[in-house]
Amino acid sequence: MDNGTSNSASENETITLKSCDGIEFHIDARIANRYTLLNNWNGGESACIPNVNGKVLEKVLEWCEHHINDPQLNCGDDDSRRRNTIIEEWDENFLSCDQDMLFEIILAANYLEIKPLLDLGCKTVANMMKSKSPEEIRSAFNIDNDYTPEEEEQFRKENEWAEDY
Amino acid sequence: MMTLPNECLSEIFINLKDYHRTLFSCLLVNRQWCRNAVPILWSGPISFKNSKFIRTCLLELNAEEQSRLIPFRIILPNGPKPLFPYTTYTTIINIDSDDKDKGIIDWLNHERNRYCESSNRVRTVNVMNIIQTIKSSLIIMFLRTSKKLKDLRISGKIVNMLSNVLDKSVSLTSLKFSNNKLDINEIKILAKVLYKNNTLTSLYITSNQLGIEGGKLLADALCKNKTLSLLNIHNNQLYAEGGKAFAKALYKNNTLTHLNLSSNHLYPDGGKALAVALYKNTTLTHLYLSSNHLDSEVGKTLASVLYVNTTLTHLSIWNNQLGPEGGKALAEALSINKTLIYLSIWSNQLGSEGGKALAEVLCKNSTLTFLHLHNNQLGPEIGKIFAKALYKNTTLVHLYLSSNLFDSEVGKALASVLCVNSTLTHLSLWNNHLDSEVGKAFAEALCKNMSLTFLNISENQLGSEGGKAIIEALCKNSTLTSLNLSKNQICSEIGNALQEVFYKNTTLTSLNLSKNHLGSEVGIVLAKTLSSNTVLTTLDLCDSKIDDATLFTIKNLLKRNKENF
Repeated sequence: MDNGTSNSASENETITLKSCDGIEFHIDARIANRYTLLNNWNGGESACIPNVNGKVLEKVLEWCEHHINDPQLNCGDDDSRRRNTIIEEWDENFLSCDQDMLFEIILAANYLEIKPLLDLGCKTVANMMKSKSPEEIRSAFNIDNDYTPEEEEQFRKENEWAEDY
Repeated sequence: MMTLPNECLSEIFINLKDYHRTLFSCLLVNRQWCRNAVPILWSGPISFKNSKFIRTCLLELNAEEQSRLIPFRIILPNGPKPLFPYTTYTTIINIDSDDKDKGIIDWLNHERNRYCESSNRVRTVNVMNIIQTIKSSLIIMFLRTSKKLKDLRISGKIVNMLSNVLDKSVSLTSLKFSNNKLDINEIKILAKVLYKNNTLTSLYITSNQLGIEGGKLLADALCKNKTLSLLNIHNNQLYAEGGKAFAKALYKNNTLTHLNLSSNHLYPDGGKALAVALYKNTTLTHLYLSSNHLDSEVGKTLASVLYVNTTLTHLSIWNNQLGPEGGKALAEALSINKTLIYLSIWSNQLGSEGGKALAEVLCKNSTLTFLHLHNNQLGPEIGKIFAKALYKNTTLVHLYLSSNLFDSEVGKALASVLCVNSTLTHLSLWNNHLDSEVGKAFAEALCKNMSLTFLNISENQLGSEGGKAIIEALCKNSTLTSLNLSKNQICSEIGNALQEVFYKNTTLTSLNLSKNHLGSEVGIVLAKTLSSNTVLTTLDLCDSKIDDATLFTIKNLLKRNKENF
């Protein structure tokens, strides 16, 4: 996470972030310093965040604030990050929002390169899919099936070994 | 639903890497999901256990690979070409387990009639031959197509076909051969690979009857190799001569960090040569020399090395004959050494003298985190010294003291130190004549201790009273995740306590109550309560006088918990 450009911001320093729909947030500068992309935009005292609306940005910043004292993750250590799908209680509550918001948070975390929040969102969605059939997943997430029947059948046949594992 | 970009879908599916059924569902959702789920599903570890998997893989064979099967008149599945280049995504192949050929055998059995022109012929030719040929065709196909292959674990006669790939492969970092009875030509090929290849970092050649000559070839290659960091040649009849060859290699090689030479009849001569090499070698961090007929002299040499060597962190020398002298020498070295964190020295006839030295050094040493001393005839006096040392020591995390002729007093002393020690997480005391009083002392300790996660007190005489006390304590403990109370003469009286714990405790994931006299009534209570406990994933109840139907219900509930984990 630390790209070498972040300077140590003091606790009282704040900067202003502006969402794509013009809502302003005054945040602890340490948050901006922590995440590369927020930091990159920090040319002056305020920064504009296109693509993320106020409602979503508020949630994302709420998460960042709660986790401000977390140890920084080692980027290369993908395996240890994913070793389990356990989610802490606060995070679980935080993400028990409606599905659209959950996906918005994932998109924003991906866009803003807030890796731990992206992981968390992805884990949550992954947990929602466990042991579900394709039909159940489609209806749970409201997804259209764009397969031709022949195609679907061939994919089923080529991969049905996975059912027995 | 809003559409998530591919990279997000991929991130989601990585979390489901071990949930093949769910990934299978995901890839059938729609085309975009399929594109992102397939590479993860096929990344592996893949094996040849499933006939449906074999069927799909056979569709990937090219003309040359197919032609190998012509003599056996095997007609391959003639479906359309697969929709994805599945095997290109494979990174780990593991075809080294006991049922490694099951998928091929099943495929032959189920589909033989359909795919074989003349089933009579199949019966007459050697079936093993057919299986081997199909297998090698599949392996060749994987080696040809899997450009991302990192980890290959195989058994069987395939070194020759591998050499070509190993020379070229840039992705393969880990290679594991086991139980192959490699002949000298195959060993030469492997040695040559070690000379040339510069991507391989882990090599396992376990149980391959390398012998002295084979060992020397590999050791020589190791002198030149600059990439390998792990070499495991466990169980290969190297004898002292082979051991000496590897000792020589340790002077020259400076990349190897892990070396496993256990079960190789190294004898004192081989062991000593290896120990001496550690005066000079400054890269090796893990050395495994268990089951090698090493004696107290080797122990003393290793000890003197530990005064100067500052790289070795793990030393495993269990099942040798270091004896009291070897134990004492090592203990003395540990009062100076500040690098060793792991020492496994069980079954070494350390006796009270060796044990005492090791117990006492725990007051001085503050690096060691793992100490395994199972079966060393320590006796009760030494047990008490260990308990005392744990008041001072704040670094030891794992301590294994099973089968050491302890008594009730030692058990109680260890339990009381647990009330204050907050570093120890793993403690094993099985087979130590511990009685119900010890059970009660541990119960008290578990109410106060907040660090212990693993406790094994099986094969003692806790009885129902001691067992019940410990189980009840779990209502107040929220750190212990694994408890073993097997073979402790525990009877049905603990039923109610268990019921309460299953409702209240949310940390225990593994409980072993096997070989007790619980009876079916307790079983039924457990089955009932377990439906509301979602944490416990392992519950061993075999030989506990519980009927099969109840055991089956319990097994299914545990399976549910495991899947949801």
